[in-house]
Amino acid sequence: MGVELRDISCLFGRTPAVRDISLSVPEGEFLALVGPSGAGKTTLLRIIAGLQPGYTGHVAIGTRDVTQVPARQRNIGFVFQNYALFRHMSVADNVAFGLKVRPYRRRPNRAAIAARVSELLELVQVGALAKRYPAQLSGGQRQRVALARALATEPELLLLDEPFGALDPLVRKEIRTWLRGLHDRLGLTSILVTHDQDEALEVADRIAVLRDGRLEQIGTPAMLEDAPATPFVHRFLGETVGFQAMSQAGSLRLEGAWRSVGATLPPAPPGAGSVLLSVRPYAVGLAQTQPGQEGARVLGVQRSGAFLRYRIAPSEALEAEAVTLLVPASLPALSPGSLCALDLSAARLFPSADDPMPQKAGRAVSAVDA
Amino acid sequence: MRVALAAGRRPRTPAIIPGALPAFGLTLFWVGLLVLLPLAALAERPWENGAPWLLATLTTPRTLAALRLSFGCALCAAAVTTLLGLLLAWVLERVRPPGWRMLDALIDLPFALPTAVAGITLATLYAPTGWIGAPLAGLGFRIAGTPVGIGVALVFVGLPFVVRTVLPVLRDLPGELEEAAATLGARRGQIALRVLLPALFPALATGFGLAFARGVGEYGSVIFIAGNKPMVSEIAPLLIVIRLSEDDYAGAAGIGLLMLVTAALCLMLVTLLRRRLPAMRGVAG
Amino acid sequence: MSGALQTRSGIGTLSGLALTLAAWAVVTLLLILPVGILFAQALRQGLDAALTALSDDDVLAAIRLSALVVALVVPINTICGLFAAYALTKFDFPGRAALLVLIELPLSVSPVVAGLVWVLLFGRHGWFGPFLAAHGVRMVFTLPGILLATLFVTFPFVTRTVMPVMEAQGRQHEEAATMLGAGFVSLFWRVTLPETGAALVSGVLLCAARSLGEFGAVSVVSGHIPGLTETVPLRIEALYNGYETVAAFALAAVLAVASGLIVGMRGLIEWRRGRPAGESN
Repeated sequence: MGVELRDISCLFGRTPAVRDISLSVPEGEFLALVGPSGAGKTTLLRIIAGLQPGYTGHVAIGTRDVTQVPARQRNIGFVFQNYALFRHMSVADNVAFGLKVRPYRRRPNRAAIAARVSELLELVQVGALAKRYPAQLSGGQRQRVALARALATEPELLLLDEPFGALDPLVRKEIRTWLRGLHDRLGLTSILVTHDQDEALEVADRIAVLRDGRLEQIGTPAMLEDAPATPFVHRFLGETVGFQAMSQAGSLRLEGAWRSVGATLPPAPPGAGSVLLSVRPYAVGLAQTQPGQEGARVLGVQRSGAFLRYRIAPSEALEAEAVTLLVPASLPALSPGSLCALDLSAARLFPSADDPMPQKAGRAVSAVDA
Repeated sequence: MRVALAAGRRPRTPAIIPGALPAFGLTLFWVGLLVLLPLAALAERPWENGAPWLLATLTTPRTLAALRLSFGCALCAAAVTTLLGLLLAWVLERVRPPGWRMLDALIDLPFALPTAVAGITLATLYAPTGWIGAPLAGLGFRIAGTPVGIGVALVFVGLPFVVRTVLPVLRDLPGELEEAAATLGARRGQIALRVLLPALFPALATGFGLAFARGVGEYGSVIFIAGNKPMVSEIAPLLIVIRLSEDDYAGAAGIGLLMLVTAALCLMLVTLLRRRLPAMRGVAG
Repeated sequence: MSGALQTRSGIGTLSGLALTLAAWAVVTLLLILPVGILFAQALRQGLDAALTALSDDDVLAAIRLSALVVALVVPINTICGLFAAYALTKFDFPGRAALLVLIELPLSVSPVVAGLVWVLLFGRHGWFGPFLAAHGVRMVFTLPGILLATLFVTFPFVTRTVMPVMEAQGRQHEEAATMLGAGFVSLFWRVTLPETGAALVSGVLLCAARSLGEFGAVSVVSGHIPGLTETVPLRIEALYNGYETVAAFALAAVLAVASGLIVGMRGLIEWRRGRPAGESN
């Protein structure tokens, strides 16, 4: 079932954790909420679930306004970050819990519960573990049991709070592909919280990027990559290199130390003002300069898988400004010390005021330290 | 799938975990009936004849003697208990003689022995005819019926508090501390004085405070050995009982309130100290 | 050199030996001998005399009354204590610290004061005394008074032992149960309660031991009517003061064994929970 949020705000004490977020999730969609820690994504998820007190705004699930509905009546499947399996219950009892606690009239009989439990355990591929206790399971198995438990009450909305966080990388990759398959097979609507942008890009239909409690942008992975609304979104979804530039009278030129390297730039935006060029380190074109042409200096080069990792600076003296760029190793290599021509035409342009945390021009920034 | 969402006033979000109403309802009823109401009576009753009267009753020689005895004995006993407790904790943790587990289990005996039982056994043991009392009487010492007897009972009661407070701290004290001091050329006495004692001080003070708070109000284990002679060995709790039997509610409540306030202050200090002792959370009061 | 101080010295060193002897001397004089004299006095005239003394009507009545007090006080304080721990750990609310102080307060009160407060409320000149007397209800010097005094004295034990466990569990399991549609009753019964496990048993045992052995508070409110309002500790006092030494010590030995069993059981549980026994009283 779809979800509609309107004007959701939530304060932690005096600090706003979620600020005025409105978004809607159509039925059947897999939405990822991403953002650095403290962005408010888990809070938002808990608001949808009904686990967060003291928020303002409205939440609707399907056609029902659930703002005033207690969590237990929202019929939402919730997978907790640490799974929150009941330690004193077997796997089967954990999965059966949601059915056993139903009011008498809606409670299936024992046989029906048992059948449903084994069906679910088969579905999540842990049928053989029914009698085990959570302490006897591996991380991946716990994850599957937690999912089976959340699905037992046949929720139409599934909320997952960093469900892969506690898994080791190999299992993580496998289980998220599997989860996406399950989502499609069961026709669920799912909302996933993660701080790992790769995870979001891989499983989600759409991604909502949060920052400081605000919704920066929501869209498909392709939309976010092609038309990031803010430098933050661009930076969060992958490594970026930033350059300050000035737009004036239909022309664009780099500012600061990079001003004299003669890079190829994208077309200037309308209007005048300071502009931030944000570009993926692998999307910068690097070529040998023609004689007499201006260029940037190659400080060093290092092989990294299928790429060459170049350290480039405006000049040898300006090493502090150096950026790291990636170029396919199949292209002809440039030797350290030589001049190179920069092609920044693939860069995204943002008015500088859009970036409340301005970077020093020409610093490579990864999402992690953003 | 746009839904008509109720617009307007700020919605009240429901409580998250169910059970707030029964849990708070029962808790408040229980605390109200069992603690607040009795405390209110204890706080109000002393003043019913006016403050000057209260001051006068609390300063009669007999009351003063009883208060002096209770507080004095509790203070001395707590000091002795702290020393003995440190000795026992040290032996248990640092010496570990054969049979230390037995020693460890014995420490908790006073927790297991009901106070009345402790009272009559200690009284018999230290009476002039008792196993310990008789030899001491031969030397001219009397224990039962004197403040010393009260002190013995309070040490008995307070000992586990000190040991159980000091032991975990001593256990968690890094051995390197002492080794470092030793490599710096400190002699043993210096190590004990300069390194260990300051590190153990909060635990010792906490144990002292707990033993003192317990000792001031202790009744069952004391009255049998004390002899209960007015002005000599009559403790403050006993005086409360006597005042009650004389129907002097205000006088009894006055002494009770004074004792409660002292004990509460003492435990507040202990709580403050305990905050500085992370290893000791959960150790008792 | 200073090896004896740095690590466990054993009793190999002189100081180790001296300290060990001193420790045993303290324990013997202060702890072992009282227990020894307890049984020695009880059996002074042989087992038969002790058993005869125990089969006295007033003694049996006292045992029955003590059992009744334990049977009533322990469940009440267990249920209330559990709910209080639940309220204190699963919800955020203003005044939490004050509530905690109030719950802990009975621990710092003299047993005599714990009895006194009930006389101040329900005694002949108490707040509600005249009103109750007019309606023919007697609270003090009867069973209700003894119950109230014992409830007051044992009031914090369950909350105190259970709260750290509930605190450590956090709220996620309750949240998970809520998301699965559980209401308060099934959530509390199936999730919260089982997870408190050994801590709850430990708290209950503590409560039982103390309500069985409480002397001071009960003594103030009991009225000391043999056969009617005398609990076991009060009967012991009466026998002792009446110079019936054998009977007093025989009953004391029985009480000590019962209490020792309860406390020992608790020690075992606490030890299996991985904590030193004897914490908190």
